[in-house]
Amino acid sequence: MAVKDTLSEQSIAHVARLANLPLTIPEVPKYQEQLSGIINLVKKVDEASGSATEEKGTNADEVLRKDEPNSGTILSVDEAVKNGKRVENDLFVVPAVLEEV
Amino acid sequence: MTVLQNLSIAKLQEGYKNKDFSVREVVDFFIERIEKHDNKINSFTTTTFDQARKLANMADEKIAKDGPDIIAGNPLLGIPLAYKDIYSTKGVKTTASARVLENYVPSFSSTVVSRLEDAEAISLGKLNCDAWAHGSSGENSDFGPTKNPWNLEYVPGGSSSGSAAAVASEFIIAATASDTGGSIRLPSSFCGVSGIKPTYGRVSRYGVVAMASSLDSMGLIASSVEDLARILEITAGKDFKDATSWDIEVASYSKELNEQVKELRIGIPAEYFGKGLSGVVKEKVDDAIKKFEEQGAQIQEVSLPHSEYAIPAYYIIMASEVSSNLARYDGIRFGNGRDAFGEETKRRIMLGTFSLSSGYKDEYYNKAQEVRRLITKDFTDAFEKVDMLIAPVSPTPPFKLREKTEDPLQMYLSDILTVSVNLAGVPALSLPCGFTQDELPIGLQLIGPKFSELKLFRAGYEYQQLTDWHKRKPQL
Repeated sequence: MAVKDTLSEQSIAHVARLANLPLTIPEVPKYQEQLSGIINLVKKVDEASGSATEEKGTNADEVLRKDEPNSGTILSVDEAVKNGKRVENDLFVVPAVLEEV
Repeated sequence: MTVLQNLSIAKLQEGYKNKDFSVREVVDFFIERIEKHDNKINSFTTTTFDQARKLANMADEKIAKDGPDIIAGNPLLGIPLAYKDIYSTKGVKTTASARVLENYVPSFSSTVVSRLEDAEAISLGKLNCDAWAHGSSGENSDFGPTKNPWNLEYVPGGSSSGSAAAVASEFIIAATASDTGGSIRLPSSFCGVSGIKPTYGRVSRYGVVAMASSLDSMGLIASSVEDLARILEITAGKDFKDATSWDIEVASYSKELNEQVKELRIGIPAEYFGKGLSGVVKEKVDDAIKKFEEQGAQIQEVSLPHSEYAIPAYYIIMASEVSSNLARYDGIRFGNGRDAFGEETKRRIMLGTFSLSSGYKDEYYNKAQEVRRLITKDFTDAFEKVDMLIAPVSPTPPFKLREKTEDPLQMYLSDILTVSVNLAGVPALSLPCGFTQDELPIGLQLIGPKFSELKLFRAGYEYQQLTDWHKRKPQL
């Protein structure tokens, strides 16, 4: 499928919704054009041929630490909430995700 | 006080020992330079001068009380540094040069910052960069572009724009920086300074604002290889807070620098010297190759056959990881909401989300991962024949501000000679190797196999003993 077809204004809006990005109306055709160009470039990966096995990315055989509190990485409640925009009783206030029926 | 110029860690420590100057005098000297000149360069996002003065006084007291021998046990005592503004600093604003984090004050420090503080370095503040480290020119900062100190009409290179510009301007001795696709090497090259992009996993990523987690490499920018070596031996090493950091011994880079690499075999990757490489860049890198040859290095051509797929694979993998890493910024626990993302960031989030989305993942993301393996194998094959590779960092000298901002594709192609190194996870050292007729710096990179930092430093150190490109400084 040609990229121009896949990247309709609707697909830009769809990707923006998946990415939780608020786009303005004038941004949609702009990103449509720019992303189409970029995707035409990156599509070139399809032409590569050859075979290679995966190298191990790290030597971490055991990446899971013990399930115990670690004072080296744990923040106090005060530290954890101090940058929150809306905090009540040490809890973050979040937008409602349920609608009233 | 002795005239403070062309400073290095060794020179400062010698001066402290001989009481030629105090730490406070040195810190005041740098603060004065920043206050006088940074309004033109815009390399800092936040300064921490009061704290720096306090630490300088404490360092002087320590030297007075315990004698100059204390310097040996505190390898960066009284050395002024600054941190790229993606390194979390406890109690000091960390913005990633992004409006989303404009007021964010972390409750913890990154491992690199903690290690530098333990070594008694003195931070003068946080350095500007492309927002979220997304960019090749330094122009994507939400707090205004950094300018190239060699010519204010030109870009300093990105994304570690402030790190390179501040070192070149002699505002600091060295800076932390990060390299996901060239972000240490490009600005080092454009500003005429030295930069190390270590092996992936050599330095902990803990506490650094993540861009693309399988590519991000935490490195440094300084005026010389010697200073890079002195700092990397402190920041490198296993960290239990980063599961991808390697538990492999860190060499005493600075003590072992002076040894010449015997029977050095240097490879010239043919694909990096082809179409699109500017004449002056080729000429200066060729001059450097001749220097190595004169010193007895064997030079041979090698091939990295999948190089042409590096930019496509990189932009898919990087953007996919960016879209995932930036999903956490919701403006609830910290920072502003997602409407505050800048244009380039949104572009990358959209590209990454598209590459990972249902129906396209196999064609884009999975295919790019396959290509990544092929590119990694190209390097492994090349390192069976040679010890290291030499190549230009950027196909062109620094370009003008706004020259590429309207065309994201052209901007992406600035990384054409740097991204393969990140895909393969290998280290690379960027060194100044000459200037254009208009006095704009040109850089080369030495690329080695994983964990070959010492070898790269030795070769780079030898080159800097034979040349003085790294000693040239811009007139501010």
